[in-house]
Amino acid sequence: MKNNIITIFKKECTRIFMDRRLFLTAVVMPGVMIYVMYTLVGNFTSNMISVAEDYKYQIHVVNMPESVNTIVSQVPLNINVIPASEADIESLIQRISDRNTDLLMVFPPDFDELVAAFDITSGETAPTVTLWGNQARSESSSAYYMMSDILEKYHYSLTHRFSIEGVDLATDADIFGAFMGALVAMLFILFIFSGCQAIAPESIAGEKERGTLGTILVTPTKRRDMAFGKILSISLFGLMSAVVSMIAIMLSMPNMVNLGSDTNTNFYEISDFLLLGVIAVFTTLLFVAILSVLSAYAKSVKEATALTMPVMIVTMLCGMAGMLTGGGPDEIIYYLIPVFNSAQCVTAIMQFEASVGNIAVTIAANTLYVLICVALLAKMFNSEKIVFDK
Amino acid sequence: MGNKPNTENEILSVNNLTKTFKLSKKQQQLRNTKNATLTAVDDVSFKSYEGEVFGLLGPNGAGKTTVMRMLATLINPVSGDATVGGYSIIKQPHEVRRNIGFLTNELKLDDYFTPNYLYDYFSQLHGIAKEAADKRKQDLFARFGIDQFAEVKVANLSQGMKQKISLAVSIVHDPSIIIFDEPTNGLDVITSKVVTDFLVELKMQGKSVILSSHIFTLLEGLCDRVGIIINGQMVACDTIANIVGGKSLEDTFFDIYTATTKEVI
Ligand SMILES: Nc1ncnc2c1ncn2[C@@H]1O[C@H](COP(=O)(O)OP(=O)(O)OP(=O)(O)O)[C@@H](O)[C@H]1O
Ligand SMILES: [Mg+2]
Repeated sequence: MKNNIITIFKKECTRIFMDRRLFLTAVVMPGVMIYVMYTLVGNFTSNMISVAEDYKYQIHVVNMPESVNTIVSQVPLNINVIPASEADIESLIQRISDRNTDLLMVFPPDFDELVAAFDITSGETAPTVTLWGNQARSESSSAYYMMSDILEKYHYSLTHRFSIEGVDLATDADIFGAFMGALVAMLFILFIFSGCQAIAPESIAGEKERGTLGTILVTPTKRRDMAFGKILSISLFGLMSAVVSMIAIMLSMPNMVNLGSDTNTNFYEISDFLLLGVIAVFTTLLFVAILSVLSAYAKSVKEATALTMPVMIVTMLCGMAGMLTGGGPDEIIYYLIPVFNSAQCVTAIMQFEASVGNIAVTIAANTLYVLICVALLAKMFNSEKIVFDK
Repeated sequence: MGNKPNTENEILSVNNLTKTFKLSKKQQQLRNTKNATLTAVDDVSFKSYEGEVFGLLGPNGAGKTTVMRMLATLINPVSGDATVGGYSIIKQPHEVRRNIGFLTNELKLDDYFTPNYLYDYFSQLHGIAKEAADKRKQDLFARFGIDQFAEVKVANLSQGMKQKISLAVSIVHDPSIIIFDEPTNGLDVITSKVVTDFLVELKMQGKSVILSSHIFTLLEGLCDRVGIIINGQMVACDTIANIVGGKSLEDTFFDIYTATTKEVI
């Protein structure tokens, strides 16, 4: 009995150690992956929460009083105080709403004199300074807290002889979009990936393992046709799985973002969903193409699944990068980066900033990558090393 | 027996085919050798004529399957070439695939499908028109008794039935050249007979058949000519009558084997 345990134990160990690929993929790779992922995720999230360290806050001020100016110039803050006139107020408010600049402070003219002359016991309204900010922009909300903090202290030192009014220009849609953009981009990409990951290894490495791939190879079927047939069919199922997941997210969205039950959450239009659908199709094709090549390289379904892990981690990081860049850079070059481009497009769509140009570049880039993978896969199907090496 | 082969017409011409495999350190250990390459097929040449049944005879590991895989364009020789039905396996693999029916044990049918589905699938891959394909399917399914099982998943069928389905599927396109690697391997005597009878039928239809086996009696009754392959080399190739010279093929084979390998059996 005991002997058999040892015999079986030894045989199994030999099996795993002899198979260097299995050992690497099953034992070594997960550890490496965890290290890489946690390191990168740590860097990403710390970047995401704080505003860039050297960021100069853009603060527009109308009628800056001497007193406040002195205080502000004494605090060591990285701010850029931009004087503005009353005529600019309307356009600045618009820019803040659009998340193009950070903060607007409006003082009444002769603020210092008014404050000095104000009698709290008079019962009249105190001179008021108004701050316009936008919560949906992190730089703006940081600037808002910075300035209101300074004013707040000054206000106490003057025993309440003026009042501060804050206006948040973020709409429900803005807040919702900022949150959803980040989250949905991440989930969207991951769901599409896992849909494809569930099928590609089985469909290609599985056929290899079972010996059914060779049966097709003896027919006069073009290798390229085989590659296309495989990729398109796997994509269909990957897409179906992604669509089901996406519908689930959409349905649970109002519960996720606590906007209150009376808030309308129908911020998105049909066109937004159509754009998401288009991105989904081209992202699925890309994933399937990449996973198919990996699966064709792998000797077994197990190995193929292990090989998809690095792709999954890159995918998660690209999804998170969507949160980091908040809405997406405009440089075309970013939309040539596979997976990252999809995440950026989704974030932009969710934040009502979809750019047809960027989406078009994403589609074109992905199409190119898919075609490259098809050519590669066709070549692999023709290689006896790939098809027959056991 | 049956149609006389047309020796004017070469259907297959194998010229100095050589195939080597790189051995990993592990494989070298297992084989107890220091050579990093294994010559599985060593400079093999032979010809086969239209309407002939040609047999490749050899012990396990001789290189039969490797030769046949090269002829079927699944793997490439390191040197040499062969023409199958006039097409080069190296330069015109696509044409070769069009003209051959290839059957080997390593290639499997997908367990999830029914014989009916698989037959149609391969007919389509070969570009056979629907009507012609259906007619041929009916004939072949009836011929092999597959019809009752046409809608049963391959996974649930017996070894023999699977082999008959593989056979039918390998010739959906009615190829003129048939390359069968150990077609009766693992079959009982009855199913074996169904297969060999079918091979005779194919010969009658004027097809050219290349067959491999280590079963002497099978080849003896079936082949017009045989090639004996040992350790990757073709050690004899002629009509059976010329090779055996009165003895049985089995005895002849042992003689040749001991003479070639200097092993005592
Ligand atoms: N992919 C490969 N890598 C390494 N060696 C191989 C490979 N394929 C075949 N061989 C070796 O080549 C030699 C010839 O093998 P092959 O399968 O052609 O023999 P065979 O005559 O068909 O034998 P059997 O009667 O057992 O089927 C064997 O030693 C085999 O181990
Ligand atoms: Mg063999």
